[in-house]
Amino acid sequence: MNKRKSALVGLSVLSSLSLALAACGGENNSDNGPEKPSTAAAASNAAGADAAGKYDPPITVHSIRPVDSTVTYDSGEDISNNRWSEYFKDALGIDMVYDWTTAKNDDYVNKLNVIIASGDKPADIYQVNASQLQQLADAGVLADLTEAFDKYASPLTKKLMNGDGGKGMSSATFGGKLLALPQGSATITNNDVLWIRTDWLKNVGLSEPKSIDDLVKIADAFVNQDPDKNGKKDTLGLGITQGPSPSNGGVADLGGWFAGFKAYPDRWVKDAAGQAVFGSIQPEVKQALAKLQEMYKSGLIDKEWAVKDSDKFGEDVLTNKVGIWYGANWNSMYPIDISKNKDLLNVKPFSIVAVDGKQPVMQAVDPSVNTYFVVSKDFKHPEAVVKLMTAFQEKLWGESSEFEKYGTNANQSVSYFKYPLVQSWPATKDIPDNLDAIRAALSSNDASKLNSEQKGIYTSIKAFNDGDIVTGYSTARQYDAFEVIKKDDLNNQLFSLFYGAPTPTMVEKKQALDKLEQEVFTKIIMGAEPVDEFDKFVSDWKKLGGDQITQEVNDWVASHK
Amino acid sequence: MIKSSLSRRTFLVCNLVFLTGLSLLCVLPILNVLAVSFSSAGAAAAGEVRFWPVDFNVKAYEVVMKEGKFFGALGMSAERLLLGTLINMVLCVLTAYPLSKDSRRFPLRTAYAWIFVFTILFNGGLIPWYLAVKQTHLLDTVWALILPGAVNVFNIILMLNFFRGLPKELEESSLIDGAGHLKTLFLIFLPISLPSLATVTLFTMVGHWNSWFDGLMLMKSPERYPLATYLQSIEIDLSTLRQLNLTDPDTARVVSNRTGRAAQIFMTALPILIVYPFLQKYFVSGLVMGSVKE
Repeated sequence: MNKRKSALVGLSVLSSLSLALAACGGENNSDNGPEKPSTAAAASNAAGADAAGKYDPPITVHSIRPVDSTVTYDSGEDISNNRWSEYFKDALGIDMVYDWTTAKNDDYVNKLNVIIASGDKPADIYQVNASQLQQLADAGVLADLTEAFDKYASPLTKKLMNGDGGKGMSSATFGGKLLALPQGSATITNNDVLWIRTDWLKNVGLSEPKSIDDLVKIADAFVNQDPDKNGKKDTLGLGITQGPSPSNGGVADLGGWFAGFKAYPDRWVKDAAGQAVFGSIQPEVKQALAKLQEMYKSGLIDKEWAVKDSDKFGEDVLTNKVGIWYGANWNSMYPIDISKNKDLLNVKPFSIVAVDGKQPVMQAVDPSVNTYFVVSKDFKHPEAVVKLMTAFQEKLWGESSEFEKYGTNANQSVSYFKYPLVQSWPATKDIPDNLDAIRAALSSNDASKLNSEQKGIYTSIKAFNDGDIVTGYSTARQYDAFEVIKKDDLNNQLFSLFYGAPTPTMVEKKQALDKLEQEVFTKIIMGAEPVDEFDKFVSDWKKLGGDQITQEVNDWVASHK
Repeated sequence: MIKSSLSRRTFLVCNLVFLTGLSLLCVLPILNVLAVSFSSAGAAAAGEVRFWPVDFNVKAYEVVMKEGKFFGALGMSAERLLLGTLINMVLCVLTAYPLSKDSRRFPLRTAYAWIFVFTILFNGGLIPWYLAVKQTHLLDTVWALILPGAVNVFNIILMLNFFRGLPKELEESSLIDGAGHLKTLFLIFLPISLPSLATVTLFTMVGHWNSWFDGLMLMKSPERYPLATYLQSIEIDLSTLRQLNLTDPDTARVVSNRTGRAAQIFMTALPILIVYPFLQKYFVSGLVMGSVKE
């Protein structure tokens, strides 16, 4: 039924599509709000395309979206009437109408799933996840945006949308046709750093680690040499949380540790023959696990790690029990809570270390996109989505940007950037853009060039430097971590080779395989199984669907070269 | 009578304290919501409101009443409640009565009973459910919320077991007196089943009133959401009333999302709260006492 309907829709639309493309040439920038159109027009004229071209008469775009509790408003605004919707009406002639909204993303996904399954058209422009995109692309109900993007995206948008090396756009391309705009975000910020209590380091007379051996020495000293000088042997070594999480970007995960052995579990990496292989079953993982088992046996890892989630681990951090762990840049906000324990001021981020002592250490990140924006095939103005995206990025990061009006307000309490549905963020926003801007402002003591988001960060870090630890700690240390990541990883990132929607076998078997992996890793680290159990895991993994997944991933990689 | 020994008395005291605590746990949150709904925004945000309003005002209720969508949703819920409860109860009683007879009188009883129980154990899942409603062209009508759940097997089993517990002699004597099954059901069985009828009716009403998921899935336009779905789809904490187009700054000071939300919650809970005392009088046991001499 699905197929039949989409075929009908497809036929009826093909003609109107070309008509629509011709009919919506943009001009007419007159009678808009003050100053906005001139700057926007200037930016786009330079591009030679009419990205800011206005629909006259205005068009109505039906859309649907989740609007969660983090979306807040200034008095008088709501999701349908706000500064962004006004701007879209004035400058683009686009009137966004939300047919329905949900308060929870799960509700949105469920409702959209039933609508997609029933073959109905959900809306003109709407957001989908990777699996839904795959489904819709297979059903052939999405508009081809290739031409619209070429023609209407501003140079800025083209640059930002390809800021991740084109991976997001490539994952939205099916058979050479761009069927969606990916919601981009930074991947480099997923990288781990090593969080260490520097006061403890000083107490045990060690300096920052340069290799895994140094790290083991520090863990040993933290366990056996009473780093907190309270006369009790109540401290733990390297922090790990249950799971364990073998990839980076979490709290007390093992991504940084594995990277030190050139092992990249849960990522798809290239083998010697150039094929994509699953990181978790590579021999390097075995070495890394063996070392962890050795540490566990000599008491350098908490005996209870396998039952501690990040909340429980956080308690250990707050009660001065653990002083070294791998984690993401935001670990300074969680699990660290500086308002509960001022001593944590001494926790600082450091570069991760390798078993061969070489630095910097390369980490692997997953460039998958979670959210895409798609256009129904029978919508007459598929380029509207490109115009919306262009306007969003222009107003936040372009030459005519007004961050305080369209991004966040001065004290960061209201985030206006959440109002537009169609949005994508520069991969470089935090690292290096914000980082560099703020470092420059701090050294010159001149915050005038910063946008309001950066100003908020600047104020926090300045407060920290002036002694207001509680206000400034989390941001200041986060930017220290950004500094470390920039130094180590900016030119040195490894991307997972696969970043598409889950393949059919993944949908069916990945969950069981992930569980198997976690069980085996946990048992090996805790010494319940010998390290050689890893070899059995590898053959089990392959047998239980892994080989098939690998084949599918390689097919995907080949088609997304 | 039980002798009131020391241990007995200790138990009674502990029991009383425990049950009081338990009922307080149920009542206090409602009182808190009520107090918040009558308080000013500042006091509510500062967490000063416990069980008595601070800066008493009814602005929050005014704002909610002004918002047309709330009453639209209320109307939808009322329609659903009335139609749904009626249909559910009629079908429930008509199904439970024959199934309560034993297999000698109703040979295929067990087979029928299993067909019903089967639907408790297995269901088609989300998408088939949606497709069934769509193909029958019920989407976006109040019937989409009523008909898919019109036969509630759990309630049927409840009624069935109650019917079985009634003295057989009552049925026999009414049949001897020449009444058919319909007459027996409506003139003999139902009047003495009031306690369980009241219970099942209450279950059904609360169920209809509270269910939001089917409204979200089966109603295409938000204007036709029933109340529970409407409340679910607007935001849960912060921005509720801002979404309700609060433009008057003076009102904004007194009414915050929290107080407005509390007012909405209370207005939503009120109809069901009112129903309880009315059904209360049917929760009397012993209606069949003395009907049979053995």
